[in-house]
Amino acid sequence: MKKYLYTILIILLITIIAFLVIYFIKNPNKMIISTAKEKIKINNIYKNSIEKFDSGVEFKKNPDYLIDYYAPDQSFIIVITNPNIAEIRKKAEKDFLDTLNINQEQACKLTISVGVPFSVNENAAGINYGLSFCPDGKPL
Amino acid sequence: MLTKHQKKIKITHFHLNKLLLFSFILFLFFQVNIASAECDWHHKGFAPFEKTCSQLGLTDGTCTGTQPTDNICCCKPDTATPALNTSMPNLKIPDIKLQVNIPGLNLTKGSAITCTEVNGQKTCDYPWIGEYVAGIYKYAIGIVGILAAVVLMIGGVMWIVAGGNATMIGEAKSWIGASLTGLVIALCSYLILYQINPALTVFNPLQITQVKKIETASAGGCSYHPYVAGAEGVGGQECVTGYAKSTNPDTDCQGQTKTNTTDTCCCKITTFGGNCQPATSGPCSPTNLAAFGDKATQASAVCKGESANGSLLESTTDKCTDGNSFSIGLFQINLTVHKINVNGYNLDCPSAFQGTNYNCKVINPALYNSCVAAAKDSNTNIQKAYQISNSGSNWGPWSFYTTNCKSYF
Repeated sequence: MKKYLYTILIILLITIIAFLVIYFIKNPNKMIISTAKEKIKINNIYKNSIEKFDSGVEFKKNPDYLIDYYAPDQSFIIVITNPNIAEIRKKAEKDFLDTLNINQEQACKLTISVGVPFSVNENAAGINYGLSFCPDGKPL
Repeated sequence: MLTKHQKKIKITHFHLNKLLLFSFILFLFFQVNIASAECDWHHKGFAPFEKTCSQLGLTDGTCTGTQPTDNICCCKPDTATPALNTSMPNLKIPDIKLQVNIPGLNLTKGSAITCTEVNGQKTCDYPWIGEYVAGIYKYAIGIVGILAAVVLMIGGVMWIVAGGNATMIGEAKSWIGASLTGLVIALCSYLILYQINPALTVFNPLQITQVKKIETASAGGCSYHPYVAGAEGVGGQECVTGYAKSTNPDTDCQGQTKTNTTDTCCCKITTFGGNCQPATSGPCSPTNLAAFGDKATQASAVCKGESANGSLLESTTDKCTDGNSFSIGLFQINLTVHKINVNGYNLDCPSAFQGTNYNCKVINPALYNSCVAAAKDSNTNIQKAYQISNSGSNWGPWSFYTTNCKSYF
């Protein structure tokens, strides 16, 4: 009798572990970005993507900015397409944090390129500004 | 009672032991003399295992006296300190401070490290690891000596208290024997290693070549420049022509070190955002543009400037009269003038428009949409840029960058 009880308990335990593993690893609402120091869990940006391209996805797009995820190096790209760069940058950063559901500290650990195309402002183009609240963020 | 024959054997054994001990002492004396000589005859072994001086960890030399059979004259490596070349860049080698000191160990001071310069490459000999191992060896020898003495005393005490008990005396003898054997082995370890291969006893210093300084531009093309008295520069007198003194050196030259305290953070004067550096991530990174070969860095700078890594970017300014964008993707390919090849099929994009550039008007929306979709594909876009720029050798349509990013073009 005791032997059967143990078997049932073990099966139950394995089932619970399996469910937990599936929930945390295969959660369709979340995805994990591996950084140099840690793994950061973010909202699944593929789920509500606007446009997919060959090596990534665009998950935010409006007249002011667009935000892409580039899968090969797990980096994020914020392209500011409005000449009012400083203001749009803050707006895009907030949207980025909200969409990914991460805090500033976690965002600073991600590889992010924040730039302005030449056609928008040739003097501001060619620079990776980073996120304004991160240590490597460049002022505008 | 021992028979006469047994007594004779015992005496012979006693003499044999003495003879062996004497020979061993002589051997030690001889070896110590060899080891301490600067140049001497060394046995080179027998054919086909003959060794040269260098294989023995020594250098060829000239010896006095008659050359013994199967011997070669070798000298200890020249340890003369070469003079430090004063023309070499300043390199301050710090003194090593051990967290746990080893008694009797004095590591060479940083200022005494010898460096040589060959073809502009500076190489320094760092003997610290060898000295550290030698220090541990010497310290361990001391510990072994103390342990041997303790074991010897234990053996002696056991012998004293044995009271004639043959078993205990035997035990005491084995303690004393083990103590002396251990001591001899420890003390002779150097000579044993020397006999196996003299190179085992030589701690050659680590030769580390100084990394050549390559000037790199940081954010805004800024770096520390040597002070130039009276040089004409924008924003100050410290930077040479073409550079401006940074107003925010802590940020602009972050992570860079000054060679001299008078060095100034200077930034390249350019109208193009002050930065022509390639992308470090994303589709514009040189890794993703490897098809350009040695021009990948240039391609990366162009790509980053044109689209800021945005694969799906439709220009917000390069628009036709009807509001449709005609510059698309990573390299902002102009669809009014360039055809695009997709999987072997040539899309005649210019025929989708009436007119070119800002005077264009989309007359074939289906073809236009196909062209836009094709140009948004990063591989297709890169391939087209590769073709237009003639493999990165002619950046004609992007001449702005070749003019303003001279450090990369």
